[in-house]
Amino acid sequence: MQTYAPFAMYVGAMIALVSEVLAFRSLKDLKRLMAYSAFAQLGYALVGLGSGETGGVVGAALQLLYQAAARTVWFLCLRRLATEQGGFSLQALAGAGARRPGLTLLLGFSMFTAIGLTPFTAPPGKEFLLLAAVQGGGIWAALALAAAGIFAALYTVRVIHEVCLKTGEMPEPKPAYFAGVGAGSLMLAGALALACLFSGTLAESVHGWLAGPVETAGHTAGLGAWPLPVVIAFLGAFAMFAMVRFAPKLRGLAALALAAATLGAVLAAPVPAIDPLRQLFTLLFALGGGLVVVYSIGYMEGHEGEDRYYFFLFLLLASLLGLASATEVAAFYSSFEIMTFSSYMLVVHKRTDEALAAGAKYLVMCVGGAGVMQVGLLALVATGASSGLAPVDLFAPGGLAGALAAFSPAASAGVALLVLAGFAVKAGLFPLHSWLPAAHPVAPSSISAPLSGLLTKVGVFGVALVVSALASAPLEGGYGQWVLWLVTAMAAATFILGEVMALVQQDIKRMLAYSTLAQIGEIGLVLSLGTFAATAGALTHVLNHAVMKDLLFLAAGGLILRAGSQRLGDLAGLGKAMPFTGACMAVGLVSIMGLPPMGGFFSKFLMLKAALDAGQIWMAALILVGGLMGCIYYGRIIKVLFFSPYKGAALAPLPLTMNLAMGTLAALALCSGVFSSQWVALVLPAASALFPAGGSLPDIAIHWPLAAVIPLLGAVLAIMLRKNLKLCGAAATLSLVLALGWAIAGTGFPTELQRYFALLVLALGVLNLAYSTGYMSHSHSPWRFFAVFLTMISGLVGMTTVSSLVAFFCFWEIMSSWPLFFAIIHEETPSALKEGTKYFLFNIAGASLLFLGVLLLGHACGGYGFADVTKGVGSLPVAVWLPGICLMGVGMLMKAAMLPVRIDWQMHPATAPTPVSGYISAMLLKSGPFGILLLRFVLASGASGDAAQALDTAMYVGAWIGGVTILYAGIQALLQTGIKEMLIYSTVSQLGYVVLGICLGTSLGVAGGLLHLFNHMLFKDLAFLCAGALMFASHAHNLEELGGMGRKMPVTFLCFSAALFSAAGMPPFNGFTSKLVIYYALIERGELLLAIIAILSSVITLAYFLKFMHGAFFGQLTPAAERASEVGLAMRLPIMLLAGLCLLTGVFPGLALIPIAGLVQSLGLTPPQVGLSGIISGYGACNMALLSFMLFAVGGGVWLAVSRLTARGVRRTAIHTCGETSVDQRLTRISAGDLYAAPIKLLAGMSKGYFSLKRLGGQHD
Amino acid sequence: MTNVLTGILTNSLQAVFAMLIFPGGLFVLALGLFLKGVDRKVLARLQRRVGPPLYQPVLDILKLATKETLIPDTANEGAFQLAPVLGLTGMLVTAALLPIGGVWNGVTGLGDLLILLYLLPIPAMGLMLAGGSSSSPYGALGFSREMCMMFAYEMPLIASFLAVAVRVGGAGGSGGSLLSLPAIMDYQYLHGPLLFDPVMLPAALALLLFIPGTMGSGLFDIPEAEPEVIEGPLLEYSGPLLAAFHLMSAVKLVVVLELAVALFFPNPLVATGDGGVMVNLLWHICKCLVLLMVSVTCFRAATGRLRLDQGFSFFVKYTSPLALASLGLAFLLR
Repeated sequence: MQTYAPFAMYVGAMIALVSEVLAFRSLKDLKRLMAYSAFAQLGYALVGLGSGETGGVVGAALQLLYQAAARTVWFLCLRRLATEQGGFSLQALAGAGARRPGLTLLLGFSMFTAIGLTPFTAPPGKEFLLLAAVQGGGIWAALALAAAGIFAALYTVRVIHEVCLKTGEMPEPKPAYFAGVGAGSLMLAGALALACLFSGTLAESVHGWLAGPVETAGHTAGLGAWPLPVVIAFLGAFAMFAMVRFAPKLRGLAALALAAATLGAVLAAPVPAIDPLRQLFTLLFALGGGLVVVYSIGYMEGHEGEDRYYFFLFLLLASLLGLASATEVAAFYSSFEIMTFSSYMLVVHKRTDEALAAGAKYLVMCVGGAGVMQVGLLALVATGASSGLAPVDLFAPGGLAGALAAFSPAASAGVALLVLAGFAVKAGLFPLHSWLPAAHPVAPSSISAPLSGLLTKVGVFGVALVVSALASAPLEGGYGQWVLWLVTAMAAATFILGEVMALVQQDIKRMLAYSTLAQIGEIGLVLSLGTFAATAGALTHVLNHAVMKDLLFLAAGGLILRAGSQRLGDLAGLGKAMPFTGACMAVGLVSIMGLPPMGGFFSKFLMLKAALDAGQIWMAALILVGGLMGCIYYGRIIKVLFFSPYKGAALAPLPLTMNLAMGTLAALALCSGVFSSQWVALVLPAASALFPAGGSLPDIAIHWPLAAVIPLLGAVLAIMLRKNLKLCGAAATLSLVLALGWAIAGTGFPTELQRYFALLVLALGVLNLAYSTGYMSHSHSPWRFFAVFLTMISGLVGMTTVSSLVAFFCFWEIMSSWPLFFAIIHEETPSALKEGTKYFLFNIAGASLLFLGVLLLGHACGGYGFADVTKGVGSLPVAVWLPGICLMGVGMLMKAAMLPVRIDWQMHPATAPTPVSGYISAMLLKSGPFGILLLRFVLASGASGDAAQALDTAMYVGAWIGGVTILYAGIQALLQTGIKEMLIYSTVSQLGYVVLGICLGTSLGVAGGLLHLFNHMLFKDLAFLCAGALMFASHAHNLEELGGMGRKMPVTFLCFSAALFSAAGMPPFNGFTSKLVIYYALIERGELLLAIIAILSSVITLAYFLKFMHGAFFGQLTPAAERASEVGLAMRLPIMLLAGLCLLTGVFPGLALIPIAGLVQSLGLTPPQVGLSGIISGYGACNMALLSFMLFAVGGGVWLAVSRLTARGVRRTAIHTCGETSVDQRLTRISAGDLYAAPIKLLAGMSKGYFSLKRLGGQHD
Repeated sequence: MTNVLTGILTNSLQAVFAMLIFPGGLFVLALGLFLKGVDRKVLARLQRRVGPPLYQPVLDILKLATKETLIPDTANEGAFQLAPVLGLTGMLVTAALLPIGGVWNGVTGLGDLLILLYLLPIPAMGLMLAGGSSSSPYGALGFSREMCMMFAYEMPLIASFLAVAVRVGGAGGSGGSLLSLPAIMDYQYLHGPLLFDPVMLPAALALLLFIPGTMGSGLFDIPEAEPEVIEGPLLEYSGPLLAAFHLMSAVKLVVVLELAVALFFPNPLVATGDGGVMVNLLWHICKCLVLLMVSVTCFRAATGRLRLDQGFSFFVKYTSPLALASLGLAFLLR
C-alpha cells in the first residue's frame, strides 16, 4: 500500500486535472461539464487518500461531502433551468438569470462553492488534502490540483456569467425572486452555507470521527478564531443585508455605523498577537475601507443593486482585515478567497459586458495565483508540522524565513516563488497584471479606489514578507538573490509598462489604473532591494499611495458621476465647475507627482535614497524618468480639468458624504507632507519588524519658518477675501510685509547669503503684490493668482531658512513646480496652457537632475544637512562628491535658463500675469545663481587643493555658459517684438552676466555678480511693471500694436527710461556699476574673450531696450494707444519707487555694495574695499558719486541753457514728409519689428540664417 | 577723517574745474568749434573751394541759438528736448575726464578706459533718442543706422582698448591689465609711444578707422546721410536744440581725437613747469590737428559713402581683425 501511495496521489492529480480540462472543453453541454467536473472530485479524493497521512483521509472525506452537497444543488438548479430554457447548452441557458433570479443565485452559489469561493469560509476539504499531499511529498500533485483549479475557475466563471449575471431583456412583469426554486434545493443550499460558515466545527468532528481529535485547529478557519473587527464587519455584512430588506431608509446610517464600529474596534483593540507590520496594514485597511463606505453612501444612492453592493463591500473589508490579522495559513487563505470573491462581485457589479469580461479575467487570475500560493504556504506549514513543532506564524517577522530554512536553498527559493505568485497577482506585477487595467475602469469608482489603494497593498504586504525573508537570511548558492532579481525585473517591467501605457489613455480611470501599476512597480522595485531603508521608504509610499490613489479615484468618481463619462475629454473644465472635488483632485495629483509639500515627495525621496544606498543608481534614474513621464499625464488631467473651458449646465453639488471622504483624504495627503517625519514614523515599527537590524533614515523633517508660513496664511486669507480685489490684494501684501518684518528681525537664517536673499525676495514681493492689486482688476479670479503667487514666495523664503539639502529641494519645488505652473497658465488661454506645460515639464526635468544631485551628494557625504555635506566635501576624495555637486549645479543653471538647453522651454512666464512675470524674471530665476553660490561657498567651502581645483574647473565651465548665454539671449531679445518676450530674453541675457560673475569665483566676480543680481532685480522688475502698465492701459501684447504711449503715459515713460539706462549700463544708473565690476573681474582673471563678449553684449542690451522704447513710447499713436491713459496709484507707486531706487543705487552703489562686501566676506573670500561711492581701490574702483555729480551738474547746466533758449518760442509742426502733404501721418510709424530690419538682416547673413527677422512672440489668443 | 574729507574736497574741486574750464567746459567747446572750422576750411581747400572762415561754426551756433524751436506735433516732447542735452552732457563730462599728456592728469579715479567705453556711446544714444522721439520715419531710419554702425565699430574699440590695457599691464610687470589712462600714459612716457610699438600698430590703425566711424564722416556718413535719410535723427531739429547737437558733435570730435592721442601718443614735448604746460598743450592740439586731418578731413575728402551693409562689413571684416590681432599679440607676449 505504502509503495503505491505516491502513484495514487499522482494518478488522482492527473484525473483531476484532465477531468477539469475536459469539463472546460464541454461548455456546450453543461450536463457533460458537470459530469466531468464531478469526476474530477474523485481525483481530489484520491490525492488525499494516497498521501498516506490521516489528514489526507479526512480531507478526502470532507471534500466529497461538501462537493456532493454543492453539486446536488448545482444539478437540481441546472435541471430546472434547462427544462424552462429548453436545453443544457450554454447558449440555451444564457440570460436565464433575468427570468429566474433565485434559481440562478443558487446555481451560482453552488458552482462557486464547488471551486472554493463563497461569501462564507472556503470548504475545508481541499485544504486538508493539499496539506496531506505536500506532507506526503506530493508537491507536484498539489500544484497539478492548483492548475486544475484554474480550469475549474475558467468554466465556472463562463457559466455563471452567461447564465446568472448576463443582463438579458427583463421580462415584464418582474418575476418573484425565488419563484421556481424548489424547497429541496433551497434547503440544501442553506445547509451548505451553514456548513461553510461552521466549517471548522464540522471539520473537527469529521476528523474526530475518522482519526481521533488531534491538532486540527491549526488548519481550519473557525469564526471564533477571528479578531473582533473582522467578525464585526463580516457578520455586519449579513446583518445589514438582512436589515435593509425591511428598512431601506436606514441603509446609509447602517453602513456608516458598521464602518465606524469596525474602525473603532481596530483602533480600540489592536490585535495583540500581531506585529507592527500587520497592525499597519490593519489600520490602513480599516481607515481606507471606512472612507470608501462613507463615500459610497452618497455615491451609490439610488443605484441598482445597492444592497448587494454594501454586502460585498463589507465582506471585502472583513476579508482585508482578516488577511492583515491572520496568524494561520488556513485563516489567511480563507480571507484571501473571500477577498477575491467579494472584490470580483464588486468588479462585475454593473454587469455590463466589459465588466463581466474584466471580472472573469480578474477572478481566474486571482484563483490561479491563490491556488499556487496556497500550495507554497502549505509546504511551509508542512515542514513545521512534520518536525512536530507548534505551527509557526508564517506572517510574523522571521516566521517565513524560519520556515524556509527547513528547505534546501533551491527548494526554498522555489517555495518562495510559489508564495510570491499569489501576491504578485494581487499586486499586479508584470506579467500578472493584466486584470488591473481591465477591472478598474469597469468597476464603480468607489470600488476602483480600494482596488488600487487597498487590494494591491495586500500583494505588496506579501512581497515585503517574502523579500524580507530572503534578504535577511540569504540562501546558499544565491538562489534567494535570483528570486529578488526576479522581483526587481517584474517590478521594473510593471513600472515602465504603467508609465508608458498611462500616457496614451483617454479614459481617466484606465489612466489612473495604469498609474497604479507604475506606482506598484516603483514600490516593488524598491522593496526588492531588501534593506531596512528601502522597506521603510516603500512602506511609506504604500501609505501615501493608498491615500493619493483612493483620493484620485474617489474624486474622479465624483466628476464622472456628474459628467456621465469617463473619457478625459468629456471632463473638460469640470475642476472649476466642481471646485471642491477639483481641489481634492488637484491635491491628489500634486502629491502623486511627487511634488512638495505633499507626502508623495517624501516617500519618493526615501525610496530614491534607498536605491542609491543600495548602489542601484539606475533604479533611482529610472524612477526619476518615470516620474517625469508621470507628470506628463497627470499634468494632462490638470489641464483638462482646470484649464479647459467648461461648457455645460451648472452642476448639483455632490452629496455631503462623498465630499467628506474626499476632504479627509485630501487633508491626509497634505498632512503626510507637512508632518513628514511623523508620517514616516508610522511605518518605522513595521520596517524594523521586517529588518530587525534596522538602519537609519535621513532626516526629512521640514521646518516651516514663520516667514514662509505667513505668506501661506496670506494666501488663505486672499482666498477667503476673494469677493473684494482691494481687500484681497491688501491682505496678500500685508502678509508679505509681516514676513519681511520677521526676516529683518529674525535670526532663523543659517547663512548670511540666505538672509540677504530672503530680504530681497520679500521686499520685491511686497512691491509686486501691491502692484498686482491694481493690475489684476483687468484679469479674472485674482484670488487664485494671489494664492499661487504667495505660495511661490513662501517656497522661495523657505529655501533661505533651510540647512539641509532635502528641505532645500522641497522648498525649491514649492517655489518652482506647481505654484509657478498655475501662475503661468493663469490666463487659461491656449498659448498659456502650452507654455505652462512646456515650462512644467522642463522644470520637472531640471528639478530631477537637481534632485539626483541632492541624492548623490547626500549619499556620498553620509547626510543631507549642510554641515554633513561641508564635512564630507572637506574630507572625502573629489570623485565621491563631485558628480552630485555638478548635477546640482546643472539643475541650478537650468533654473537660471542658461544654454545649451532651449531657453524658451526653460522659462516662459510671458503668458503669466505681468507682475508675476516680473517677479520670476527679477527674483525667482535668481535662485539659480543663489544656489550656485550656496553650493560653492557654503556646501563646498571646505574644499582645498585638488578639490578646489576641480570645483573651479566646473565653475569655469559655468562661466562660459553664462557668457555665451549673454550673447545668444541678447540677440534673441533683439529679434522679439512681443512685449514680454523681449524682456524675458533680456532677463536671460542679464542672468548670464550674473552667472558669469559668480562662476568666476573670485572676490570681485562674486561681488559683481551679486551686485548685478541686485541691480537687475530692480531694473528688470521696473521694466516689467512698466510693461504691465502699458499692457494694462492698452491691452496690447505686442510692441507692434503700440506707439506714442510716451505722450499718453508720461510717468511710465520716464520710469521706463530709468530701466533702459540701468539695463544698458549708462551712468549714473545702477546697471553701470555692476557691469563694470564684472568686466573688471573678467579682466583681472585674464578672461579677455569673455570680457569682449560681455562688453559687446551691453551694446545689444542698449539696442533692444531702445527698440522697446521706440516701439512702445515713440511715434504716432496706434488704435491701441488711443484709448490708453496713465495707470492708477497702486501701480504707479511701485514703478516710481523702483525707478528712484535704480538711480539712487546707481549714484551710491555702496548702498548695495557694502552689504555685498560683508556677504562676500561671509563666503570666505576677501571682499573688495568698498565705500558709499563704490569700490574704492584696486580693480573696479570707480567713484560713482563723483561721476554722477559731474553728470548732474553739467547736465543741469546744459538743460538750463537749452531750455532758456527754447522757451522763447516753440512751434508745433507736422513731421517732414518731403513736401507731400497728403501723407497719412499714422502710416509714417516705423514699428518695433521694422526698426532694426537692416541690422538684423546683416546679422542673419552672418549667422547663415540662424537669426532671422521673425515677428516673434506676443500673439493674442 | 579729515584726510578723507580733504580728499573728497580736492577731488570735487578738481572735477569742478575740469568740467567748467579745462579740459572740459570752455576749453573743449572752443577747441571743438575750432577743429570743426579747420576741418571745413581744409576740406574746402582740398575741394578747391574757398570755404567758410574758421569761425563759421561759432556763427552757426549763435544763429541757431536765436532761432525758433520747431517740434513735430507727434513727437515725444520731453525726450525730443532731452536728447541733445543728454548727448552734449555726456560728451562734456567725458572731455573733462580725459588726461592730456604733460598738461593734465585727469580727475582722480575716473580716468578709466571702461568708464570711457560707457560714456563714448552717449552721443549716439542721444541721436537715437532724437530720431525715435521725433516720430519722423527718417529719424527712425537714422536711429536704426546709428545702432547698426554702433554694432560695427564697438568691437574694434573694445578690442583696441583691451589690447592697450594688456600691453601696458603685461609689460609693466604687474601681470594684469591696466585700464587707467594715466597709468597707460605713464607707461608710454617710460617706454615710448605705443604708436611706434609694432605689436600695437594694428590697434592704432583700427582706432584710426574708428574715429570716422563714430563721427559718421566719409565712408561712414551713414546715420545722418543727407542725400539718403535727410540727416536722419536731426531732420526735425532746429534752433537751440540743433545747436546743442552741433556742439555735441564738436565736443565729441575733440574727445575721440584726444582719446586716440592719449592711448597711442600722449608724450609731451617738454618737461612740465616754467610754461612747459602751455607748450605741451599746443603740442597736444597739434597732435589732434594732425589726427583730424588724417582720420577725418582727408578721409572725408578722399572717399564717398558706403552703403549701410558695406559700412557694417567693413568694420567686421577689416577693422575688428586689426584690433583683435593686436590684442592677441599683446596677450601672447605679456
